[in-house]
Amino acid sequence: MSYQFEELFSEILDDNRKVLEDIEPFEHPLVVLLRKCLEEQESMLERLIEEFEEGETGLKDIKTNCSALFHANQKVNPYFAEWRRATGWIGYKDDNPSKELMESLKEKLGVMQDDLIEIASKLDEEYGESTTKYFIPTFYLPEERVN
Amino acid sequence: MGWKHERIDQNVYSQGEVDKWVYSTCGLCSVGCGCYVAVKDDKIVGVKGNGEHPINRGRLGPKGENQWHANNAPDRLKTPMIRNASGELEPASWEDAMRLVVDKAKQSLKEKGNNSVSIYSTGQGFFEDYYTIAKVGRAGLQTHLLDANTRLCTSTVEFALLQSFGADGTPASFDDIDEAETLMLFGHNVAESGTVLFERIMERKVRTGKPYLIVVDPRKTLTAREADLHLQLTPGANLPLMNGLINALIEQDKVDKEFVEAHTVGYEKMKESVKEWTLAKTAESTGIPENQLKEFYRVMCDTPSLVSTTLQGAFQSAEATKACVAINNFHLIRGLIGKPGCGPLHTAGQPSSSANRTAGGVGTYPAHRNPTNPAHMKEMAELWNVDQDSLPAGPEKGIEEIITHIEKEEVGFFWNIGTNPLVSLPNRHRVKKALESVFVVVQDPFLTETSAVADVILPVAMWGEKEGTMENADRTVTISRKAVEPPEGVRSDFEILVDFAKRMGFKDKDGRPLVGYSTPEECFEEFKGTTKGRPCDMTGITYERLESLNGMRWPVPDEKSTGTPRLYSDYKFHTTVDDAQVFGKDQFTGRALSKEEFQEIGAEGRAILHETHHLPPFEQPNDQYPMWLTTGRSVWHWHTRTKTARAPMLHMAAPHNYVEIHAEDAKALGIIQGEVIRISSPRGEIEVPARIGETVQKGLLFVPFHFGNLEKKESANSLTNDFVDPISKQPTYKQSACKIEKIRNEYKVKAEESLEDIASNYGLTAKELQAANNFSTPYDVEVGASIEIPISVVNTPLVPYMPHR
Ligand code: SF4
Repeated sequence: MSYQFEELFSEILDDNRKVLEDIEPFEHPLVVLLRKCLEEQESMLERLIEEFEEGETGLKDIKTNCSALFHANQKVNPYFAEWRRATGWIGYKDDNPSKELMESLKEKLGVMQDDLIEIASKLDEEYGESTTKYFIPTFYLPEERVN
Repeated sequence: MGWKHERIDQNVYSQGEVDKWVYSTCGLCSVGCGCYVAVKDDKIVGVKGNGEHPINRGRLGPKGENQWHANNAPDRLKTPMIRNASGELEPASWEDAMRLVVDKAKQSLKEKGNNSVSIYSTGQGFFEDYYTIAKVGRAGLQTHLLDANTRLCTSTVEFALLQSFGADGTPASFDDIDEAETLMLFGHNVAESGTVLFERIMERKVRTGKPYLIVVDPRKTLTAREADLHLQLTPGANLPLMNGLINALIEQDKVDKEFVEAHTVGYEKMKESVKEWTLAKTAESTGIPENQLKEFYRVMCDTPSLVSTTLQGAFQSAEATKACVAINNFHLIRGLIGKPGCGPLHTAGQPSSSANRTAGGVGTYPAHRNPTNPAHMKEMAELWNVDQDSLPAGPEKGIEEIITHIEKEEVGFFWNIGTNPLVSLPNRHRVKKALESVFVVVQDPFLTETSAVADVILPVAMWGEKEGTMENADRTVTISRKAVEPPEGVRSDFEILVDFAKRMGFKDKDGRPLVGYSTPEECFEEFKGTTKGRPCDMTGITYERLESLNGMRWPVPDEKSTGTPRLYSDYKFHTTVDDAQVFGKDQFTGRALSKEEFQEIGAEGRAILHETHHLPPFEQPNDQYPMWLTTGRSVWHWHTRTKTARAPMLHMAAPHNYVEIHAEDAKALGIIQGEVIRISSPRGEIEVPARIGETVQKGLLFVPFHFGNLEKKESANSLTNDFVDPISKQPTYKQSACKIEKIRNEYKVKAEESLEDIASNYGLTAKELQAANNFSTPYDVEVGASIEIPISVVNTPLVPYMPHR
């Protein structure tokens, strides 16, 4: 199990770094917020990976970082969606991001979210709904029991 | 009591004496004026103010006085309606309508899961409605998607209070306004939004010269005109203004260090976050001259008592929560809280939006319980006798997020109660498209614009036709008695919700009905039981006491208490882990914090000073859309005019929409008074007459948000963007970018035609036509030359309203 978590977290970390690189040139206030959340994700992912690398990991070792990671991701998606709308309204021109870049970011963030849903499902299996519901946002948890 | 004298305002149309006066509370705005409903022949025929009521001593504003007309409007819905196969709404029985509602809710739960069902309610209902929504929504439907139009109104209040003090509940009350030396109305145009409160403020000011009145508003509103100091800041500069003030206080070494040390945490980080806000930088960012800022700093840093009120100019602006938290920060570091005449008073728009928050119909669980704290959820499960695991946990979703879920086809059932989102939500074309794709129940007394997307309409009782309790903007709980039976065929929101719970078969752990009460009073008693020991303790409240004492401010912990006018006089805040209503959010990104992170702050009963780093508005004027657009209220109307448009006097006073434009902008563009112009943004366009003047600053347009007929191009929310505040998720209606276009015909001047001749052919004056074409004299017209003719000029007078004079 630990290995699977580590692998998934590493995958997310890779995507996270790519997205951070891609948005580096932009300074729209929504990108500032998006970047801040991604940086927070990055730091949580690094800590979680380190935790799993160290061997046996219990819930108490990962709960706070997982909570921060999932809740940061819950902000990443709306900030990106808002920035995308904002960019569409201003127009894809000159120093704004291109439509292609937006599409590729959307894809990467989508994969990231899917990976987090997979992790949530595994954590839910391992620790049970009574526990996970208090640190993982509902919409990442398995659909058959979303409370 | 703030008022020196009572004055009974009355608006009654009755042949002969009325049969009875029934005790009530105004159902329009968050001031919560006490009143009596006039009844004759089982019909509401008017209203008068309650002279004993401490909030208004008999006074009523124009909206309050005229609210009863809507009860008798000929277009009241008197039967449910169902959309038929050909897309038409047709009358239906309650049985058929409720069966369809229940079938669709069950279908959505089965096919898409619990979080596919959403209830979007209101700030104009009763505690009893909200508590039932909370119970049905959380323990019955078990959905996360409970929200209300309070998201557009007061979610920023809630989150600003949660961030600083750990729980909802505005610290100061109207009584403190009566005692304050200085009153700062921050984005609060109280002269138009809460007329009686404004009259109360001005009555004292005229009599005593106090309070010193500071108004922070980008417009010269009716309120600003009465200010000792009007800070007419540029849009989006609320936080820079507060940061500059806090930095000045620190630089002048006027911080109440003892208070900070004993009762707060986070001072150093907060200080660091404002240190760049020098006088020069603040002046540049806010557009306020340095000398005015200096005067602002002088008054605010030295005043012995201060109440700071906020409303939509703060809540619906960029950095809404941060700006309100900065106001809290200021009060804390000056130690101006929990004392007479002191404290932040973050208010509300609607008459009971605070009640929805307190009852848990929106946001957190009933009586300020934390959905992320297992201990609170355990209590809730015990109180409701349900399985704790069945209760949704974690932070709430806002309406803009719900719209996104609908767009992703994750929602199958959307229940819209007492609100009109097709007029009130920003970027309304997007909203309409989303709501067209989902099964929508609309619960309303009238066919509103939102009926256009309704699959079922449930007609409901109005004010005066039902009984229940509300909470106003200063925590006062009030009661409204039933004066008349609702029209035949109409049910109250409460009855519908109770019926829904029964039909859905919601049960508790022991197989008993989840909703066991059947009257509003029984419901209130159950809700009251959930408040015991919580910040909003209502143990000492009964329906009877609410009437005999003319309302009480929570907490009312026992039968001897008559309420609590001011919170935190013991300087104990709700920031221990087991007390806190939430674990807070990151002050910059809005990311929800965990229990452990909250614990790490180490507040333990002390108030939390937060960092307030500035971030510019998400949308700003640009090459294509060079003007700022802001939206707001008129004194004559309430929200989407569902009630006020049906009161003849209010309708006549402001019958259609308009755009305010600064005289210099109008002159530069050659726009004349009343000319219908096109305002467009990336979301849509409207065509409304121009009101030229100096109420708005240069570069800013103002459009009232009340008008939204789908057939007309008049809705402010066709233009607004749908960005939200990172923490409160309240939409930032006050800052969009837009542009102006003139709508003109071209005319070729014929021989021997004067400007006057041409003008009169189009119902204009020569002067108007001259101004429209920027001619310096009327003789500039030459034969064959092209001139522009405005296609429409509409007289847009607004009846002035200044009761305190
Ligand atoms: S101030 Fe508000 S509560 Fe009072 S009468 Fe006017 S609308 Fe009603």
